[in-house]
Amino acid sequence: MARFINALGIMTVIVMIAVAAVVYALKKNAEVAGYAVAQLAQQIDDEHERIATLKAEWSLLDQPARLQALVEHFKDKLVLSAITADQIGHISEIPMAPKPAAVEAAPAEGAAAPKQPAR
Amino acid sequence: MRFSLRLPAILRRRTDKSARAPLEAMHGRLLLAGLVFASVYLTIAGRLVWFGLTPDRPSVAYLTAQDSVSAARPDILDRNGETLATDIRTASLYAEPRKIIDVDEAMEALATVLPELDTDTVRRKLSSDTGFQWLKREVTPAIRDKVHALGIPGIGFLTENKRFYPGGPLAAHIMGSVNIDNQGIAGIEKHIDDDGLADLQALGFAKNRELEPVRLSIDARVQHVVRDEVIRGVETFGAKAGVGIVMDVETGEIIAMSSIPDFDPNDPAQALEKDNMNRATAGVFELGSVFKTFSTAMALDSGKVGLNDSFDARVPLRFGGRTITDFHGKHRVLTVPEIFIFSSNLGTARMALSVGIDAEKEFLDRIGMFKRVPMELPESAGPIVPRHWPQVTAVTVSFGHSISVTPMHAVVAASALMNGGLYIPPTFYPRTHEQAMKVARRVVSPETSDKMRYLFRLNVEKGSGKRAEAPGYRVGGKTGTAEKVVNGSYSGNKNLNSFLAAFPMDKPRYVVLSVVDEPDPSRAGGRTAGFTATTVVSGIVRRIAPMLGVQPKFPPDLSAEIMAEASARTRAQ
Repeated sequence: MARFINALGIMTVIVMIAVAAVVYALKKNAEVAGYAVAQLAQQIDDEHERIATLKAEWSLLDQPARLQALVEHFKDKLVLSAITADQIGHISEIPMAPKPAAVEAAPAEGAAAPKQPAR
Repeated sequence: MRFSLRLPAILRRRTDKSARAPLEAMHGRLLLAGLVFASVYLTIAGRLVWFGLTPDRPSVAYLTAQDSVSAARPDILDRNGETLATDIRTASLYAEPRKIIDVDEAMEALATVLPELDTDTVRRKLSSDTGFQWLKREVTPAIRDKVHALGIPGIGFLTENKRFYPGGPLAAHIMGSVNIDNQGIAGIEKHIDDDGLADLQALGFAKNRELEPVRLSIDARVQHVVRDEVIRGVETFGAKAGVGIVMDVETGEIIAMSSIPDFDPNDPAQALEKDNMNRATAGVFELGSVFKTFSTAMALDSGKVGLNDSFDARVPLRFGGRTITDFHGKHRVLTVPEIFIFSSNLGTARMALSVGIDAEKEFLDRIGMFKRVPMELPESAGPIVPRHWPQVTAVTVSFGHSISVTPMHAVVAASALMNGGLYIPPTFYPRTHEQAMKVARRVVSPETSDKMRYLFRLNVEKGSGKRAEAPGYRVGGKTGTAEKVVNGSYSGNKNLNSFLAAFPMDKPRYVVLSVVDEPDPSRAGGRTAGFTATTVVSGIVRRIAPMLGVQPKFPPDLSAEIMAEASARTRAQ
């Protein structure tokens, strides 16, 4: 019985040491992962900042007033003018193509047989 | 006497010579100790399992000085997603005076980088016994790096969000401005704060960029065109100021709104200059003849006046000391359409009198002329309405004097007359037609709306609004040349010119108003709205119609078409 208790005790001690080691390893891993997460979060934040700055810059370059001034300034090279109402149409205003009329058997000069109607 | 102690049984066993007894005693004690240790280890194991099972609790974030200043604001976008306002991170310089070792050394070092800092103020701040003092807010990254390189203990930087408007003065009065702490103090910026952002920030939620951007109904391209044309008009006609508004009649959305002179919201000090005020919604004016639109609509809607009726414009009207005449009067009996296209004061006055003063007051109240325009912009002026309404007042109100309203009042009321008779409160946020119908209320009948469309179009085809035509886009509208009050009496020289228009008149989608304030009489066109404000409207419509998807059509006689369509509709009912 004593020997059994001894074995149990030694086993328990070994198990405790193993558990402690595992817990320590887990904790270390968690710390490292936490640090990596914080770094990534910071990087994401920095990227968001950069995107916002770029969006602001793009908006600045895309302003209608700026584009109008550029067109005015380079009008000799660009030769752009404002669109007028008679340049705008709608697809419904274009009539459908007329059906091709059937070609009668009227032979052309020198032709032997009537040609097929164009499809 | 032999003295012998009776030892406790467990110890007595020790002295027992029997071989088995000590072992049994040990057994008991060992078992007990083993059980105690086992229970301790079991508890530890149990706690480990418990920790493994409980979900992660978020860590408590301690509030730092950085958090209290980096109040983020949402981006403001136009209806197509173009950025109108956004945040830029800048560095703000602060000092912790308790940590500063040598004030003079710190000041000398700072002066090399920031010579513009006032030495007395800075010395006072650094010598004080406080924990935190701002030195200079919103510095450039270059200056931040230089100060950082100085290495002064007790000086540091906090990143702040600075509001940036890429469009500059494009939508200045709509955007409003923010103060140094990024709180809205005017315009839509203030409305966003009042609408919940301020509460969010107070609770500590609006820290970084995760806020959803705010979309407006404004179209940046149309806004630019309106601003460009109003500025061009003000310059061409030598005017003091100008206003341009475009509103969607079916949804009540404001597509563009510009008031010149304006300011650059990136420099908020400009907003405080009185001349840069928002004349579109915060300034009240006697609009003059554009008001005849509403008087005519009132008369037609009452049922007492029809398009074929006539009124006498031969003889001037006299009320006590005041005489009312027509400018370039025709001196004959005029039909209702003629009264409109010749802009006859006498005809309009007699038309209004035939309907009655109470009916006139009730109608103007119905179309919102007696109250502030309900909308999101905080700068909304209340109209100046006469307190007493004798006949002379009722008559002058009918052609737009004695009552002062904002240009926005005119736009919203005209929109109701053009869309079939429904008054829709204006909004600066996107709104669908269905949502607009929920807040709309009927103010005139559809027949009256048809008749007003006819009159508007007739005025541009044959009347004073000819210059407002944009070929293909079927513009209709009413001119207004209002004499301004100077030193208590009406001045012939100072006018307020306006043109209240809608297009396309076969089925109106947008109302456009342009106001030209005090055009120079010596310039070409003089002071008549038929020259100044109409030119601005024509320029605006010509450029914005393709952007807004209005198909060009070239009907030969649109007013007759509108009349035929309206009569057919009346007969069908």
